[in-house]
Amino acid sequence: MNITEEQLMLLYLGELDPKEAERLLQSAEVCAQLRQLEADMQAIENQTEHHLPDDYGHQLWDRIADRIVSEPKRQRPSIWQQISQWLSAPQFSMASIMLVGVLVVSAYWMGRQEQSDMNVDLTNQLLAQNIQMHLTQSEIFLTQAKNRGLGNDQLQTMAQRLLTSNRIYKRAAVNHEGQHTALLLSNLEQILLEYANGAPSESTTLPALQDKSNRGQELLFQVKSMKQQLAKDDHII
Amino acid sequence: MTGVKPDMKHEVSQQWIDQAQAGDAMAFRQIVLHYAKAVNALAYRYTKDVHLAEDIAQDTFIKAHQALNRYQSEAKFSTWLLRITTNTSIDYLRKANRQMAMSLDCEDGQIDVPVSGGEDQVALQDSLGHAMNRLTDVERLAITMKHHQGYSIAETAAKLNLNDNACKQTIFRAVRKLRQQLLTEVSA
Repeated sequence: MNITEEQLMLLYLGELDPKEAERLLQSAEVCAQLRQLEADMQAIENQTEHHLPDDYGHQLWDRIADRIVSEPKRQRPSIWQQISQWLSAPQFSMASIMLVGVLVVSAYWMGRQEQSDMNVDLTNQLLAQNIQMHLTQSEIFLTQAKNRGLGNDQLQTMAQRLLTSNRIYKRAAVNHEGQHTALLLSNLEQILLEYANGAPSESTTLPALQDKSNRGQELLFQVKSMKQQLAKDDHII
Repeated sequence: MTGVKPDMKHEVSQQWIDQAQAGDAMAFRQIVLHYAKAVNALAYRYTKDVHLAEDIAQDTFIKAHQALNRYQSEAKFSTWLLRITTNTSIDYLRKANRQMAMSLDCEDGQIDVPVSGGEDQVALQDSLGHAMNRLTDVERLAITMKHHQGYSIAETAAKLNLNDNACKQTIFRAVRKLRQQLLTEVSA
């Protein structure tokens, strides 16, 4: 059976009338041509893949985080806020609606209290999981810094990347009353900042290097402990 | 459709989407981590330009964040996000004005095939990379939208401001060019 090149392409692209496609696919010759076209396109597909580093997602987030975080939250005002606005409207008499208002608010408060606790728990849990991931990356960084496993440029780049995330998590930990976590992230920030501004040069004095190394080891221990604690509690501390 | 190759088999958890819609930046971070590679890879398919793909990926996620409340969970999140990627890529290429205006005048299906320097996989990959580079922007957009993203010819034509027949011919021309390049490389 003869098939034109355009028909073959339309068949491949799924744009041919189903009945026409069915008729053409009864021919072994057409099937062979279609398989060849599929194989060609697959070969092109395989050979033109774009390879990205494993941590590309983290890199991309670090580049856009400031713009995302600085955007105002688009949460709708709570029902309580809506009721407050409604109550404060001059056309309604506060006295006449007070009784109804108290009843509504009481009922709402009792229901909301439960929901609010659930939301706080969930948010706290998600934050704890995110901070654990961040601490894992920081642990890798501190180990590399300690063992000098990476060049100064690589350490600097890695520190700059971690610094942005660290600041976000520190702020979040403070907001969730995670004092211990915030303190650790604050200590971590100091070390990251030093590396982000440039790892120690050859001319740095030996005591200064030893001091930095000691602080790094101590911090590494704290990071590991905090990770275990967060994994155990699944909650910001 | 035979040619569609989904980029993402696993969707991000609906929980992250809900949290991100409520304004949680860290939940949105999870979304970025999940889809970053797929978005960049698609942008690269459209542009064949590493820097442009990076810009498009960043812009896509910022636009997605701004429009997050408009996302309806009836549709797959990846489909929604990759549509933003497609639209952003088209915008970028239009702004860059790379060949977009001229591409439809180029009816000649012949391409200059570079002399193959070797038979190994790297040389083949380079050559096929060149083949994709040699497609015009419209051809690359059309073939990727149709073949890779599963748009219909009518949808592709509408997005690219072409009539259906011109769009069809553009896709055919792109497939011919790629196959010709592959044939030359394999037989070299």
